[in-house]
Amino acid sequence: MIYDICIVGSGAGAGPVAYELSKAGYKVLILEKGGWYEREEFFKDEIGVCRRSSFTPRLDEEQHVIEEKEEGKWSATPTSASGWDFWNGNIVGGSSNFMSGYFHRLKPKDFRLKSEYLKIEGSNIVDWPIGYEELEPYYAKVESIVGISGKVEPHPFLEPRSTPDFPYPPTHEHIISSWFDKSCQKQGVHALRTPRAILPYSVGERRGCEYAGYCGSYGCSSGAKGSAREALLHTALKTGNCTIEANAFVRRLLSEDGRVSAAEYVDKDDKVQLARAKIFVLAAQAIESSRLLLNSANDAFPHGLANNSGQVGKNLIFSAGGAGTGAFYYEDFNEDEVLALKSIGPFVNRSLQEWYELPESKEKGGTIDFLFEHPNAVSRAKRAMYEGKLVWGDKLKAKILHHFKARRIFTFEVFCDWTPNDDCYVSLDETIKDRYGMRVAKVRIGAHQHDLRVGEILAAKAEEMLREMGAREISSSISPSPPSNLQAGGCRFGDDPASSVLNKECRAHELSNLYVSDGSFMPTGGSVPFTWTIYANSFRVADAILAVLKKKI
Amino acid sequence: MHKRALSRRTVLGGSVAVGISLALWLSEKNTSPRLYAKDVQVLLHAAYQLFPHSKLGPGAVDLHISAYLSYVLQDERIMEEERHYLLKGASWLEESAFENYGKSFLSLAIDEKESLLHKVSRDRWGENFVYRVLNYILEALLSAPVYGSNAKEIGWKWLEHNPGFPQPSTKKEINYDL
Ligand SMILES: Cc1cc2nc3c(=O)[nH]c(=O)nc-3n(C[C@H](O)[C@H](O)[C@H](O)COP(=O)(O)OP(=O)(O)OC[C@H]3O[C@@H](n4cnc5c(N)ncnc54)[C@H](O)[C@@H]3O)c2cc1C
Ligand code: SF4
Repeated sequence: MIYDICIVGSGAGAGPVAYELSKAGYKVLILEKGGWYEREEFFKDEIGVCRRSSFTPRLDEEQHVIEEKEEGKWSATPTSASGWDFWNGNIVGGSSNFMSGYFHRLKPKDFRLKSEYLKIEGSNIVDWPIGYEELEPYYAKVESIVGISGKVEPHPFLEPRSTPDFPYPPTHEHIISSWFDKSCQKQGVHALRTPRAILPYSVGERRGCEYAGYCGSYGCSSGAKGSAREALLHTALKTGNCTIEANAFVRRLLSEDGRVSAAEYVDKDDKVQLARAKIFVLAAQAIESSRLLLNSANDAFPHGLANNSGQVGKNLIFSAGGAGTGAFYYEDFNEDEVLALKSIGPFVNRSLQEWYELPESKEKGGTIDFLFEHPNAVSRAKRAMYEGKLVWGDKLKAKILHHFKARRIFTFEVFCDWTPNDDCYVSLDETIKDRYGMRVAKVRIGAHQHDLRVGEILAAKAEEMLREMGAREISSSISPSPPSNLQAGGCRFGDDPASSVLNKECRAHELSNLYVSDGSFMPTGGSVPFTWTIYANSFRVADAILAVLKKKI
Repeated sequence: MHKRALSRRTVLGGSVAVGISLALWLSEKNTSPRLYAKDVQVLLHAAYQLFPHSKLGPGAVDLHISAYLSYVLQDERIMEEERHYLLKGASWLEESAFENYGKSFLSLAIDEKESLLHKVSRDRWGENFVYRVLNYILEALLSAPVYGSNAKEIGWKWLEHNPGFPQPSTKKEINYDL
């Protein structure tokens, strides 16, 4: 069978295309390397989900090689040796199943970083070929279709909106959010309600949030979290036009005469198959999308598919920044407050964008999200294991008791731009192959010093806020090491085929029927987590594909 | 949520070069059952010593650590060399007991066990071993009881920990390969 569309991957970048195209009557095939799990199969099982990473591949079978600078030299370490996992969720719905759903739009200036801000030496910053106004309708679409809850509050960096407010009100909030608001008022900054890709109440077959207290890193058992699977693929499947083939690892895209002719994949029985379609959409998450193109080299594209410009894999970006914490000691509060402080379930839902642009230097700043320490118990208890050296017995117990029973840890995460640079890119490892016999991605993760400086400024602001709130033991760490779950770039879009892989519509410059709809297209990432933008852009790509298909009919 | 480099293996690094496969090691047909049993015994007694029952809270025995470690040793999601290391470490600990006290770890007095563990944890292999045993003790303390430990939710109750819901309650629910 020849499908109209074949999509590689089934996460945030894939969902909108599958949803729109199948609703419009086109035959869609999704090839997803991982298994297919539905909400009844998700449990708050720290061991299985987080400590044994059951929803990502075993690192001895499929891994990445990470290149870091050590003493001035690049040194490569396979993740099977370091344990630093770059997989994020490899099942139907991809990592969107496991996200926390902190959703922020980019701001208009994020589309024009090069024109708006002073040049950063050693950076490869370019303006986007589209403006905010082109993406805005799609941001709005994500709010209603994927389901984003929140409340618009005026503030200096609020992006223009086509609708007055979010379609869903904010989810329930923890008492600490009101303490946060008071402190912000005192400091004269705007406390913002963080928009969340979480439904506060039931809509159709998706139940409202059940406030289990564990969200990020876990699959959602109510359907409230706006994963691609719950929010988009279920609807796509209902049209009868969408087929999802799980456990189908695409190892190569084949091409002929400037078109992709087939996706070659290994099916659940380890048999090699070919999937044929008129249009191919790549959405395997940034690193894997670049890897697949590089692994698809052929005579016409000796350096990798769509890579005669040498740009595939280049300018990979992450979210720069880091995190910090402060402790709220129960002894500092009255009985009622302690009870409220201990409650698990309601969200903090607060962020600050006061310094999205730094007032003194007029440089790009970023976003600070506030939340509680992740409740995963084993990882919390493990923090008690060292006191200069390993401790055990009663010493260990006393430390664990202190951590669990004396205080609650409040945290913040800083998101700033990861400056694209020549030292951050995907290539193929020369020797290590995965269990399918394909070369694994080698990822060089060089961060730009500028981002660390900006991150430190924001962390200091966040620390001040924690101090104002009465937290103790405040600390933070801004790190050059990237968060492996927030990846983008590698196939950036642009008008010039010599310096970009995709055109404005996210179609490969060099192949007339190949689109990339995950975060790979982003030349810069904004100072926020990316997923709202990935969803929005994928809806935009879906419209571009629909226009092409309609013309042909 | 940021997911930065924070893994147990990054903390201690270092994989171990051990040639024999764990399956072989564990298979009673192919290796001496006594040897296998001895290493497991030493491993368990190291765990009892590292996390004994006390006024402060439950100990490894209360948690049913033996059931948990037996699950760990067979869990294919844990890399084989990592699982193997637990037994290899136990055999090195036993060797050290003979070197230092001229008898098996199992026959040492409580304070001898304690000083031996302190002594070996100053060496890299010993630190790696003790770290791993403690790691699995804490897992046993706080995992869903369906894994065989945290009997009657003793660990959660001790720390007034809310584990979230739904929790898995059958073996099938924690077999993600199905
Ligand atoms: C714990 C966690 C918390 C997060 N929190 C947030 C947050 O709060 N806010 C936010 O904005 N973002 C968050 N994210 C990030 C968010 O999940 C991702 O940005 C988003 O899912 C990326 O979409 P994607 O389509 O690029 O990749 P994915 O959603 O990961 O989908 C890619 C899919 O492609 C499949 N695939 C890969 N290679 C192949 C192949 N060769 N053949 C077939 N299939 C293949 C993968 O298995 C996967 O299912 C979080 C992520 C994690 C893991
Ligand atoms: S029910 Fe709510 S808290 Fe639980 S995973 Fe789903 S969205 Fe997150």
